[in-house]
Amino acid sequence: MYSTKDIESKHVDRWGYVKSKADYDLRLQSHRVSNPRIKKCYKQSRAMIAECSWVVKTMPDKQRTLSIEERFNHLAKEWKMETKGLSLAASKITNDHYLAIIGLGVTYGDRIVKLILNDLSNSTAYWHYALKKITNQNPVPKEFITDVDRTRHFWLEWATENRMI
Amino acid sequence: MDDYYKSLKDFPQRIINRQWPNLNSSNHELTSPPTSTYNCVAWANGMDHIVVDLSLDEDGEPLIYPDLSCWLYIEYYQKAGFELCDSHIYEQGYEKIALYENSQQTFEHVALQRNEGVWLSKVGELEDIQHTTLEALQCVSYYGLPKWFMKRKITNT
Repeated sequence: MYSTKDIESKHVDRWGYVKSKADYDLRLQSHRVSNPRIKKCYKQSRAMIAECSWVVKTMPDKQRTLSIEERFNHLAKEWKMETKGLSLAASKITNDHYLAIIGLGVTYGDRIVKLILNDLSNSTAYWHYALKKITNQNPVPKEFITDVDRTRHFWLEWATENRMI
Repeated sequence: MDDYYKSLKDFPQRIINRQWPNLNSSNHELTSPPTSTYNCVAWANGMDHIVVDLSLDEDGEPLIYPDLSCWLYIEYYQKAGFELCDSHIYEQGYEKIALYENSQQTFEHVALQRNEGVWLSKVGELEDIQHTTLEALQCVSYYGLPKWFMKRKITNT
């Protein structure tokens, strides 16, 4: 458990994530390894590994100067563009840009969660998996996990309860 | 941030070229407004009020091949009264479906045929479209190729 003092001194964020590069790497690594589909993707493409281990070092110079919000907006736009034509949740949430957003969320915690929730309040995008991975919370009952409208409803309710929007 | 690309019409040509390279104005037309209320799997089974998505396990983690192969969906359609058949060629009195398999050997899309020369597809969260051939939507790196065909007798009820 982290103490209030830790949180106040910003050693950990509100989700209990330690804000250090080593911890971030560890978490992203365990996310990769625990998910067989992602693991397979990574095995198949070294380029994809580079993109998803991500953060700043793999970004083009131009993007390094972007703010968190701009990075998120860019990734979200690309993700939506590439997956709006797909029907299955598995295909949407294993998209490179979506994984990169999860990576951002692991690094920046509730700043990214708020951006996702803001997007969710204006769209029907499938943000359930990213929110679940970043916050380590899951307000959606199992039977509704593939229902975009219902997952949206449950997360917005969660956001209101937790004063995130 | 609002939703980008709510309709197929909103997509820049470079994306159309990448995702549906064979799609052009002469081989398809939009037949419904965009919606995420249902998906292609439900739509091909005659349902336009639910999403049928078998691609996640019970913990919400994405499935991979071989668990997410076309066979998962073939079994689903067999339970709905479809049977495997050899060809996509129209047969009077039957509706046919074509299941698309992508380069990772996973199921990605299904199209429905009820009349000769006309295929119907629900394109992700976008519109329903009517396309003249199965090739109109095929792309190795996106939907994949139509590999499996199934048919079901059309009943009047």
